[in-house]
Parts: sequence; C-alpha cells; structure tokens
Amino acid sequence: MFEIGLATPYWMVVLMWVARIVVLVFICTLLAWLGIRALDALTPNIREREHIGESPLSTGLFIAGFFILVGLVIHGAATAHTAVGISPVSFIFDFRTWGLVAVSFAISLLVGIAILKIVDKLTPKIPFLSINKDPKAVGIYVFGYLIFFGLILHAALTTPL
Amino acid sequence: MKKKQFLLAVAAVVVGAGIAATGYAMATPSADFHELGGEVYDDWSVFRTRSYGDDGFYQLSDTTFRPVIAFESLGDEAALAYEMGQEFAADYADPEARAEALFRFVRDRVRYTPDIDSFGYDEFAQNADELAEIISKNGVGAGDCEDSAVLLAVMCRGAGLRSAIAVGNGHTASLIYLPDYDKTSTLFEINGEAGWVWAEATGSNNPLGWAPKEFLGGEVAVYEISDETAELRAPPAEPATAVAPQSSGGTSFSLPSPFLLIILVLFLLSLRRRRRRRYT
Repeated sequence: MFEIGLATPYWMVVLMWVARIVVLVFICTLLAWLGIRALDALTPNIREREHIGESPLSTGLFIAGFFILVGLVIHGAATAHTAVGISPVSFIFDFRTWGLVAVSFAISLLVGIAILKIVDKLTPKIPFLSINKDPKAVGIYVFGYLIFFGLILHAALTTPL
Repeated sequence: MKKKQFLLAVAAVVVGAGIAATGYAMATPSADFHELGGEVYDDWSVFRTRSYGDDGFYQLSDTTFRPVIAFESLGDEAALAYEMGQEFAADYADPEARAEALFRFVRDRVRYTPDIDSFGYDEFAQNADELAEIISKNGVGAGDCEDSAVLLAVMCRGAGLRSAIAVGNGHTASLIYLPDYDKTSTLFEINGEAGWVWAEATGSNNPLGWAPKEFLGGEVAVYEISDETAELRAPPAEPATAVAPQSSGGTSFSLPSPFLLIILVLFLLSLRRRRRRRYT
C-alpha cells in the first residue's frame, strides 16, 4: 500500500531489465526482418534475397550484419533513459517505445529508399544495379542496410521522447 | 564433459552475479532508530518504513503529501548534504551548470538498490544526511527513488536552487527550478509557475530534464522544498500540482496500435512484391 519504489529485491530489478531487453530484441528483429522484405519489395531491380544465398561470403556478411543489428538493439535497450521503480509490466511491455521504434523505423526505411533512388539518378556513371552481377556485392549491400536498420533502431530506443 | 564444463561456467556466472548484487546491500542508517510494531522510526518520530500516514516519511495520504524527511536536513538541522550543496554553489557560478553537476552527482553516486536488499524492509527511506555520509565515506551509496529524490532536493537547496519533490504512481523524483533551461523539451509548471525541470536520477543514463512518460500529459502532486522544521505538522489540504503543458502527450503511444499498424504495412509491402513476382 502506497509503497514508493520497487518492493522487490535487486536481482528482480536485474531480471526485469533483462526481460525488457529480450522483448525489445525480438520486437526489433521482427521489424528488421519485415524491413528486409519491404526493402526487397521497394527495390525490385535489386534481388537481394535471391542472390544472397549464392555466395558463402554474402551469407556470412548477412549473418554479420544481423549480429551488429542485434548488438545495436541490445546497446540501445540497455542504455535508454529509464525510471527505475515504475510498474514492472509497463517497464517490460513499453508500448510507447514500441510505437516510437516502429514509426521511426518505417519512416527511416522509406526515406533511405527514396535517397537511394535519388542518388542512383544523380550518379548515372555509377550504375547501382550492377551489384546484381555479383552475389558478394549484394552481400555487402545487405550488410550495409542491416547496419542502417540497427542504427535507426538504436536511435529510436535511446531517443528522449 | 563439455556439458559439465558448461554447467560449471553457468554456476560461476550465477554466483558471481549474486556476490555483485549483494555488494549493493551495504547502506546502514547512521542516526538513532527505534522500532515499534515491526516498523522503524527516527528521532524526529518520522517512520522510515512507510511513506503514508501522518507520521510516514512522506506523510502521504489519498489526497496530499508532505516530504517531512527532507526537512530533517534543512534549516536548523542542515548538515552534510546541505554543505555539499553549498560546495557545488562555490564551484559552479552558473545555476544551470550547477544543477547539472548536482544531478550527475546524485545520479552517479546513488546506485539504485531496493530497500529490501539494503535494510531488509520493503520500504526504508534514508534522509539526505545519512545518504550523503555514506557517499562521502565510500564514494557511492545505495538507495531507491525516494533516497535519490530527497538527497537531490536538499543538495539543491544548499546550492541556492529552488527544488521540489514530486510523487505519483508509486514513484518519486525531484524538480529543479531553471526557467531558462533549454536542454529539455519538457518544462513543468507548478501551480502555473513555469520553468521546473524534472530530475530523474534513478537511471544511470538519464539526462537532467528527461521525464518518464508516466508523468507527462497529466498532473503530478509536488511539494516545494523550503527550510521547514521536521516536526510532524499536517500536510496542506491539497498538494501543489505539476503539469507538463508542452508535452507531446503521454498517452498517445500507450497502446500498441502504431506498432501493429507499422508491422501490418511492412508485411503488406512485402506481400505485394511476392504476388507481382508470382504473376510475371
């Protein structure tokens, strides 16, 4: 009754923190997976998902990119601004942060694709579609945008809103 | 064999984490305490093991509160915490830089530790001087939200800054009056007076001015700290209230609907490509 702060032991606070991070990692991985599919759909001339498995190096770069993405998400979730002591449920299932992450992610994805297309038009001597010729090039491209997704998610997780 | 090594490694990590966690339970009250019916009260007859009631450390009721524990370290009772605040005033001429330094001091030196670990009670509030003494001896202290809030509010008073204590939703924090502070988008108004900055010192990455969403978009009960005596007089009939008028709306993202909408949009986008490929 009227208790101020958490009446739970420290290890419970640590468990709550870990649970929050794990939940956010799953949420962000879901977003990233959908983001890859959406990027694939919005850049129909670059067939990432078809080429990525053709080269072990590309596959390795894809896995490496995902690791960096997950690392950025964990770093963002662990270092976000937090009021320790609020309700455990709202601490773990923070719908406001989920919404913020999703909105930031979707908008950044669309802006990223728009910029990609604009830069492609502005640099006719650098044909972006030539990456289709080599699966390794596609792998590096995918590696880059996984880090791009990771940075967006990290920024959304640590924003002071 | 490998399984055994793995289990040993897990056990070592768990034991290590346990030792680290119990290392936080080092705070001990410095003043004289008395026990009555399983509860603890101090020399000012303030009960430290509960926030509510006429003699609770926050004198909290359904309608109002008065953080009497803060007044144990102010006015005639001012001691170490107040003096530490005065030292900050000597070191930082600019009030905003002073407030930031005070905030960082409390945020970084008070490690969030539930009272059950430190004192064996679900609730146990330390007054500002007790916590300041532990910090001056050990470099760091242990406490939860009321301990950080009270210490910061008292040190701010010592540093010549106006401060207040807010309480709501089972949580408490300080506010500092900095009307020209432009590093936050959320300035609170207390009874119509704008310029109060939320000081959430419980999270080790929080900047001064960041406020938890639970306290945005609504009214929060607050009490401005002054040099009152620590006697148990009745709290005001109605507490002052703090509101964040320019907040972006604390409830707009309280439901998962924006998240689910984006998931749906991204999913539909990816289906569009698949369908197109299937028919071409």
